[in-house]
Amino acid sequence: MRRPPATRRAERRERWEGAFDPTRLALTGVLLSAVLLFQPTLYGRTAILAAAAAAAWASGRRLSPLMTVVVMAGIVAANLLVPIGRRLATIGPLVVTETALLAGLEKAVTFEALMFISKACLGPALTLPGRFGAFFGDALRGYDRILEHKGSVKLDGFMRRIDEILISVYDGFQSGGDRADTGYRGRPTSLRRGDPALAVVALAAAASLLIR
Amino acid sequence: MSSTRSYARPALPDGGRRLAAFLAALAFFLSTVEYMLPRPVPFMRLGLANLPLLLAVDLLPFGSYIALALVKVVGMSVLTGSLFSYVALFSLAGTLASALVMRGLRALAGPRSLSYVGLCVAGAVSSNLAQVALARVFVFGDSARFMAPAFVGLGLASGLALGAFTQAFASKSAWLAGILATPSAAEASAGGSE
Amino acid sequence: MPLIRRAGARGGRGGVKVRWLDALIVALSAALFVCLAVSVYGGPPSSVLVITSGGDEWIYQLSQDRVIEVPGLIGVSIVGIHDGEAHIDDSPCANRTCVASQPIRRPGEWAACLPNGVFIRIEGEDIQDEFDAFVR
Repeated sequence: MRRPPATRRAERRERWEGAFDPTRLALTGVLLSAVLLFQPTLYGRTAILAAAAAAAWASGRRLSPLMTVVVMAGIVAANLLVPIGRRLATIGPLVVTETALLAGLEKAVTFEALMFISKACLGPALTLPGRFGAFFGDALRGYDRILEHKGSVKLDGFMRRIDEILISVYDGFQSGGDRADTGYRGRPTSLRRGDPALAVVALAAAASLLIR
Repeated sequence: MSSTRSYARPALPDGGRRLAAFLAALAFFLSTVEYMLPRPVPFMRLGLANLPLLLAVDLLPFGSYIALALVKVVGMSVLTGSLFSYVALFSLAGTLASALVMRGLRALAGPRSLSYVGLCVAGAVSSNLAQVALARVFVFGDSARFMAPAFVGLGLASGLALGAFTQAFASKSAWLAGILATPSAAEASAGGSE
Repeated sequence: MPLIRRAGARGGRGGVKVRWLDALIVALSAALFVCLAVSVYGGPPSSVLVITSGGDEWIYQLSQDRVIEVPGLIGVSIVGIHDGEAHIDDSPCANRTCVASQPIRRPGEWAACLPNGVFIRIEGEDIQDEFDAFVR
């Protein structure tokens, strides 16, 4: 019997998170985003979009193809509202023009490609550097503790329940204190099995910019 | 003696770090909760995650307040996996604009003349204006101006709703009352209590 | 904290007290909304430049300066948009009357390079116009 989609997605998430070092993965994401923004052609950006979508799926993130299509259509439609360029078609009161259409497509593709890159390359395991990172870690810890009470939140008596949760969690909440689980972040961590693939992807992406 | 101008925030032992981190955690939680609530229109968000920031206007010193705003934005972006995207950029601009406007307004007027309702509306409208401006540059082009009135209207509506909710919450919250039981800096140095 | 204590003193719930700055901010936001709505949705659509050559049509906003190359029967005409005016800046025709003609800016005005088969016209709503519709 096939496992339900949510379980398969969770398994993909675990495999993905286990395969890469979070910091290196995030840095690869930054590099890919930069490559995307410097990519001049629409075809190139669309190729990056496809690859990023595949990566985001493989990472086990929750995705909604419907939302992606709706958002992209919305961006294109918004850009078509101001007609610029050669007239291609007239749909009712809307005139579809070439330059506006291409601009809209480029913005839509870039928008979603960035989203997919982000989704694939970021995760809660990411530890940000410095005091800000420690602050963020504290916030995440508090978030985890508050989340444990999530089931008790109902629409009825909403405010009071939130208040009760706040009281019970805040008392035990320490900031900067329990570092037992974080460990020293300065030393480079050991190589994970997916990390070499990251390097290959990064190099390929950088090289693609040179091919024109 | 409280004038409407000088306004005393509670004196927090660690400069507000613990409270700020906790408020950030609350923001993450509230945004998760908000997804559970029914949404009539996809773009219409109550913005519950802004409630902690709104409370922080009167609770945290400026440094921790801005840190809270930043952690809220960055944290949400990392958790939803959108840190490198335009969405995060818009969020950042909107939240910063809102945070600065709210703090600035509070510096001008105390709680007797300006409640969370006014703060929230001002914050929501300035946040949305900042986002429309960026959307015009990065995503929508000139046609973004067609969305400007709608965004301002949405900001007004959601600001009123969230502001009223926060006002009600603040007046009833036992948790908040506990935090405020800390004597304010002015009162502490004057040797009085409460 | 005055805000909390006062509400608490009234017994918790408290009435809805309208503070003056709250009302001012809400009023200003509503006014902003109305102004934006009127200026964005209320006005007539801005004028556009329509270029026709052969079977193709190009549309451009007069509000943005631009230089457009239009392929025609005998070559490429250059149409320029500057400061809300459109003009045929260059053309491969012999007598170049099109280049010498005045720039066009109001709806209904037009210019053309007949040898090259390039026509430019302004479409839109002119407040002074009697006719409020334009045929596309």
